[in-house]
This record gives sequence, structure tokens and C-alpha cells, in this order.
Amino acid sequence: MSEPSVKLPQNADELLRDFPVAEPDFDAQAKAIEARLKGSPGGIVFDDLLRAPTLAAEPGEPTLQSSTRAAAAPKSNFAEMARKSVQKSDNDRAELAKELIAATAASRRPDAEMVERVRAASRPAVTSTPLPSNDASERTSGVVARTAATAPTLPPKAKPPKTHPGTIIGIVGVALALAASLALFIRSGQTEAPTSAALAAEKAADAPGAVQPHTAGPAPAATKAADGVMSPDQLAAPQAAVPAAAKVAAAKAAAGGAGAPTPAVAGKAAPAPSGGAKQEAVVLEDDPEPPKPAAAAPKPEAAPEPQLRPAEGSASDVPLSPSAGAVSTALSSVRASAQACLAGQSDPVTAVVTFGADGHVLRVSAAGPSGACIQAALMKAHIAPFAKESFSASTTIRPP
Amino acid sequence: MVTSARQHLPERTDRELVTAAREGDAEAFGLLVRRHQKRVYRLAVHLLKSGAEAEDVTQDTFVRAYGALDRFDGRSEPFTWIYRICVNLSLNALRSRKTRRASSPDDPRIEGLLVDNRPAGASPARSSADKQLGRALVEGIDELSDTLRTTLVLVCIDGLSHAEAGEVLGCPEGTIAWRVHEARKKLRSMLSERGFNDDDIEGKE
Repeated sequence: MSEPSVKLPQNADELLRDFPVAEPDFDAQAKAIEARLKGSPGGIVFDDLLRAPTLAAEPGEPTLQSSTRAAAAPKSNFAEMARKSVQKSDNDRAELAKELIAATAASRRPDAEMVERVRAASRPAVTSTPLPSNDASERTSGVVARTAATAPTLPPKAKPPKTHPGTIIGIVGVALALAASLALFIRSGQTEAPTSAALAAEKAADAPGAVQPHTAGPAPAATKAADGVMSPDQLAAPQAAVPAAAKVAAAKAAAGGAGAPTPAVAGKAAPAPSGGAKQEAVVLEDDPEPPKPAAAAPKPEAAPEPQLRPAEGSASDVPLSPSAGAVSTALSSVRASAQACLAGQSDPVTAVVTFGADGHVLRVSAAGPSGACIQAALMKAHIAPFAKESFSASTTIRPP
Repeated sequence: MVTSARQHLPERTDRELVTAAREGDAEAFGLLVRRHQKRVYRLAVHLLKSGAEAEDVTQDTFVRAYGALDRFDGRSEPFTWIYRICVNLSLNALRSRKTRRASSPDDPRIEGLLVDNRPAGASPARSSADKQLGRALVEGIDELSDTLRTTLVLVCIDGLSHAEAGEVLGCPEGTIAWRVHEARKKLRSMLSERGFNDDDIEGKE
């Protein structure tokens, strides 16, 4: 036992250490214990008897929690505050903060005047928006001095207002992007845009119920396209949407709209082509520009505009290429006569039919002894005119 | 059995006796009982202020300890583990009392003070003063809270170190030291009220 800090009177400690207690017969008690152990060895022992006794804490008793909290508590907030002030400000207020650090390091309480000066110096730093004041020299925080960006209000030693580097980079980036967009726009305009714009302007002037500038939204069919559901016609001829969009752009320009639309917008504003009924898919062998997904279609830069032929009447009536349904229908109409050529035979014959721009068959390629008969039969097929020079489709003629 | 056990008393430590008792050696546990029953009884007397209850608690302490030998993890000394059971049983007995009584007619401490156990050559006046002081100490100890009284008995009467008392009560040594300091301060104040004034106090706080 350690030396007690509180001395008791006389020989109280000696008496405590050897306190006289009337003792029972311990030998008899030990035998009684042994007898109990033989009768019921141990019995049930609850865990609470083996745990630490639950004794109420005395008032003012130190606890582990409070001592830990006391150890973790910061010794001085003034030092940290002054250190931050030194880091943030490089003007004369740093001297004041250093003085405060020195005072804290010297373990002396800073006087009221010094604390008030530091508080006054750091007060504007709490908010990034300085309060309006007639006397700008009252603003003593370094943060305010840098962000105020008003030269007359700065002290002579203050640095000129700085622009954040991120702002400069952003402005340069935006300028470069604008320049690149302008260059692309001019480049595309020199090659194909004038033709499209001229056609569009012409159409916008002729067509009744032309798209108004304020109703630049797509037609119902095009709305479907915007929703990701396109008709087979649109899939077969995505390029047809581009000149039509250019028409909207030209109409906007003619109506004195607020500037030409961007190519992306023009691509999206594609009206539905004429004859937009759903048709079956056919094997189109000579399709130089296969259908593209709706997502890739609107970009004019990625998908160059189609080569347009000189207009033969209304541009909106001539699709770029015939639809698969139209080709299938035309071939079906002459299939029976072609099959008759194979009477008595067992092998099918594959024929390639090439349509001209006017919709008539230019040539038919068919092999075998019945090739001439099949060619003659298929030459009677006819489809609606289209813009391309020619269009080929293959079909298999089976014996009847 | 007792004779043979006493022959082995200085040779076997408490841990060895516990290990042997776990393996079914009843004699080894008997040795453990005889080695610690007096201290356990004195501890129970100071906590319960009753001889009969202290005897019951002492018996219960060893019976329960025997039943829980398998749960002794060996991280502490066996006697501190037995002390903990004794303190728990004593506190349970105190809490089961309907009223807190100041003194008991069979308080072994008072009986011990009445027995003339002065050493040879001691003056009768000194013996009488010691008895008066002893009675005042008993009253002062009994006025302490259970927390302070238990800690004071373990450290100042039974002679446990702060670390050992901390093991028994399950608290840090610093808490034990604070409690001992607080108990002694109150005890000195009580003794002063009973005429054992500051003139007799040696040292300072």
C-alpha cells in the first residue's frame, strides 16, 4: 500500500491495519464449506458474481472518460487562430498575429486590447462578402483586400487584384471552342450548306404551312424519331432529314430569327418524309449508305450530306432512295411471271434488279437457262422515282 | 486431510491449487479455503457489520468460487478473484436489507475491541484510548458510502495494493487512489468530530 496522503490521528492507521475482529472457528467453517461442496459442488454461479462489483461513483470521482476528454482538449485556440491568420494574410496584420503567437507561447494571457485587434482584423474574413462601408481602409482582413478588386480601397502595400487562374483557363477554353465551331461551320457551309440552304429556302417559300420559326419542333413522325422509335423509312433514308432540317434553318433565317441554328439542332428538327408507311425489310444489295441508328443521324459533321441531284419538281416528293417496301411490292407484282420461267425446274434463281432514278428497271441480272425469261419478266417492275442515280435489289425466284 | 494439506501449504501457489482443484483435487481447494478464509471473513465483516452474515458470505464465497473454477481465466490472481465474489455477495446482502442499520449486536469488530488484547507492558490508559479510537473508527467507516468503505477496507485494512484493489473492483488505480484519499479525508473529519482533533494528527493533507 502506498503512503497515504491524508494522515489519521494517533495510531489510527496502525489500528486499521490490525483491526481486532472476533473470529469464528475457521477450521469448523472450512469443514462446513467442504461438506457443502461434497453435497452440491458449487451449485449455480451467476455471471454477475464474477463481474466487477457495481459501486456507485462518488461525487467528483475522476472517470476515464473525463480524463481522456481533458487530455484531448486543445490547449489554446488563440494560437491556432493566429497561425491561420498568418497563413492567409501577408500584410501588416501578420505582425499582429505573430505577436499573439508569441504571447501564447509565453503562456501569458493576451490582453484585451490585443484580442480585440485580432478579432477586428479577422472579422471580415468570416464572410466572403464585405459589408458596405464608407471608409474602405477599415477593412483590415487580407482576404477582403484580395477579393475586393478595387484599387482605391487597397492600402499602398496591397497587391493588385488577382484573377483566379481557373477563370482564365475557362475563358480561353470557351474562346477556342467557339473558334473551332465557327471554323467547322464555315467549312461545311462552303461545300454543301449553300445547296441545302437554297433548297430549304425555296421549299420554305413554296410549301403551304411551312414550319414557322417558333414551331421548330419536329413533325409527329419526327417526334417518334426523337423518342428513339424510327419508322423503316427513316432508317432507310436518314440523310433525307438533313436537307429538310436545313429548310427549317433557312426558314428561320428568312423569318429573321435569332441567328442560324446549329447543325445539331437542324439535324434534330427533321420532318417526316412523305409516304412514311411501315414496310417490310428487303435485301438491298446496292445501298451505298446503309441505315444508321437514330442517335448517329443528327450529326452533320459525322454524316455528310447526300449528293443532291438537280431538283425535278418538288424536292419533298423524291426520296433519296426507294424504300424496301416499295421495292418488295414492285418485285412481287412481277414475281409470278418470273416464276413461270422456272416451270419444270427445281433450282431457284437469284436475280439482281437495278432501278433507275425514274423508278424504271435499268437492268436485270439473272443466271441460268431461264435467265433471259426472268430478265424480261422483272424488267416490268416499277417503283416511285428517287433521288439517287440507281438502286439495286436482289431477289430469289423459286420454281412455282 | 488438513494435516497433509498444511504440509504442502508453502509449496503450492494459489494458481497451482486452482489448477489442481479444476482437475478434481478437492484437497487443493480445501487448502485454498484455509489460506484465504480469514481475510475473506474480515472483509465481509467490515462490509456487513454482522458476524453471522459474514460467516454465511464467507462460506458462499468459496462454494461459488468452486462452482465457477472453470470460468477463472487466470488473468488475475486467484485471491483477487475470490475477493471479487465476496464483495459482490456482501453488496447483494446489503442491498437485500430493507433498512440500513448503523450497528449490529453481533458486530465482530466491537467484540474484538472489548477483548483485552493489549500487548505485555502496555499501559491501561493506552489500551483504553485505542479502544475508544477503534470504536470511533468503526463508526466512521460505517458512515462512509459503500464505494468508499469497500475501497478503504481493501486497501487500508486488508492491505491490498491499489492495483490489486483495482482488479477486485474493476476500476483504474487512479480511481482507487482517489477513493482512498477521499475516504481517509472523511474519516479524519469524523474522528475530529469525535474528539480526536487535529492536535493529534501527524502530517498534512
